[in-house]
Amino acid sequence: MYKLSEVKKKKTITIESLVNKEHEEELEILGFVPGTKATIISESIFSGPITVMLRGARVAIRKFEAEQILVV
Amino acid sequence: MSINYIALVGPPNSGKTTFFNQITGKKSKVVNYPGSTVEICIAKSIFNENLIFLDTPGLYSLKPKSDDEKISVKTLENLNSLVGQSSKNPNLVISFVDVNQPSRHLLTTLQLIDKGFPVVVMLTMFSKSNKSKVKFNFEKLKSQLNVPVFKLDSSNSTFENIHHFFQDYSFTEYQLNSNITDSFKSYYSRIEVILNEISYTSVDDNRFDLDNVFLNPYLGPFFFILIMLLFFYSIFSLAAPFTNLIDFLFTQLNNSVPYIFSNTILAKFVSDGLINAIGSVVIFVPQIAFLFFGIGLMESSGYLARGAIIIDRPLSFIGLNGRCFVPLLSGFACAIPAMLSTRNIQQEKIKLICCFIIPLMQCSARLPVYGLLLTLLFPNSAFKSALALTLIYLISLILSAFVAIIVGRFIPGKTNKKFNLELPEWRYPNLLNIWYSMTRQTFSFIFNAGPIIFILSIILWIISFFPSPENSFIIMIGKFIEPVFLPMGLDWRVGVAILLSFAAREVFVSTLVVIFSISATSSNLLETLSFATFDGSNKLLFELPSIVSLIVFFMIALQCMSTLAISKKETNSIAFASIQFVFYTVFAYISSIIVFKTFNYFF
Repeated sequence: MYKLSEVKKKKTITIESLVNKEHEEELEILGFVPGTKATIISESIFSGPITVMLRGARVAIRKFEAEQILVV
Repeated sequence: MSINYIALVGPPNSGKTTFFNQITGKKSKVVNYPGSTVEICIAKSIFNENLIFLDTPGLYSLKPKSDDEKISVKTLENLNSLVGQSSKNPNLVISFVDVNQPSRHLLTTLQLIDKGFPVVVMLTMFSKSNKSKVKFNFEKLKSQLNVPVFKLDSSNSTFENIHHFFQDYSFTEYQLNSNITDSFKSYYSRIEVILNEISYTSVDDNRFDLDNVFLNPYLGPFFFILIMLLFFYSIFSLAAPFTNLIDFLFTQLNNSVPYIFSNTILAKFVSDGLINAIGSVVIFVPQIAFLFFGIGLMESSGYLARGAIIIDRPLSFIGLNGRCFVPLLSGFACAIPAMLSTRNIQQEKIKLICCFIIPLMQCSARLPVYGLLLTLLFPNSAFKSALALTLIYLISLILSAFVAIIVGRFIPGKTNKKFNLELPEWRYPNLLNIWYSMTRQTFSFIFNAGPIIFILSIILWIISFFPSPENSFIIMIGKFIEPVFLPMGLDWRVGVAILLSFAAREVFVSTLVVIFSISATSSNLLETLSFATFDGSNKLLFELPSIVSLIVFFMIALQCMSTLAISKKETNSIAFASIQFVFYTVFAYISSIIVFKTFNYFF
């Protein structure tokens, strides 16, 4: 298990769990729920947001948020 | 038959607005809730007068996070406070689902159904996927959702089907269930089940992904800068011929006045007062329209969201985030729509900081002022003027970064570092939608700023003409306030123009025209100004130090009543707007004095 922020571009992973409960709901609305498959579209630009494709949509989240998402 | 209200609800970019424009034609009206500036388009169906459609702002779930989303939910739950004569809730809700991403978009649909709304589902974005990228069992989807489902594709039969549907549809009263308590997790698992049942599959078409370029760690920022430069350059160069044409037409109109009214006081009123007043509003229309067109083009193609992601990191250093990109960019057209678009920012404090610095974005109303001053400064070099203008833009951006940092310390509340944004798919820009939104925003500028400028220009003319042109009220006022402007290197005439430009910046140029034309020997404003001297001396009025000091003043000062009004409305705080006004006025005044003294010393 590792963090979403560590995944390389074009890799497809499955979301395992969310670490931080504080941001949970907002990430869930975006579709980050356990079991969802996601593909990295772009890695972070100068530590900026990363973009992932999940549930047919492209979603950008900041790097620190991606660090709170554990994936396999 | 009674009137029925139909709300169009769905995530951003799910095709609501395209459908709305098609089903209602173009005659929509914009409404908003009292105290809110989030706009909702409302219009009758072209098929049936008794069906009224409402285009609500994008919504991800019934649990709203931004002001936009809150208003959408309010439209569903409190429609009657928006349109008085309606029932409490819309008579029907059309839920939009992008067929390429049902696993997210069905969330809102399911929530709407659970809540007890009468729902019709509209599947959109087929044209994009017509190479059967997406496959599923349509009939099974209908039975799974147990509500009517339509496919909105480019074929003509869609609207016929919808038309027939409404002919037979009987609207019924309904009661909403109390709050839904299911978690998002459980909604998403329900969606998985549905997608399994309808054997939903989507095939990746191996098209080249533009995000490989525009979100590339190195190419992304490079293209961002390139696109921004191109954006501003093309706006100015494309609008120039139209601006010149308008200028020419109004000059012609002005010249023809004496022939119509002969040389009476009425003629003077019509030409110096009325025509100048209208002209000073209309002259901005090309630039503003092109700015909105450019923004619309970037939005419709999907680039705006990519830009927001690239600019997010730099903006995070000054306490903002990528969502501030669109408001700040629009600020270069006009602060009014820019402030309106801050409602997309989810965090209150970030929204306030963004609202605070928007007036520092160099709006198009400043351009005629800069145009005039830079021509005075560099009479023979358009290139130097362009360079100076670029410098003005850069300095104002740097200033706004500092202001954002300072203001961030004083605005109460905490910001969290969260930022997320859904990227729309890349698509061919929908020119019709861009056209509608451009004309709507341009007219909203004309009607917001127009009347103020117009009335003021007329008042100005009257007080500059009575009791007599040689000893008018404006001269009395001017002499009275002159001490304030002397430290900036300016005399009472420019002082009056500045004073009046606090209503709207564009008044500055027309005021100079009126004031200087009274004593003018030449009909050319530029010539008159470049030879103008301080009263009773030979010292030229417009020299390097005083011109630069004026430019600095206009760069910083918040001279726009409409902006203040919108700022008050958008932030719901008179204090905020007042502090903003005082801050920028004092800041502008002190800066321009410092600049004047410095330049005066060295040059």
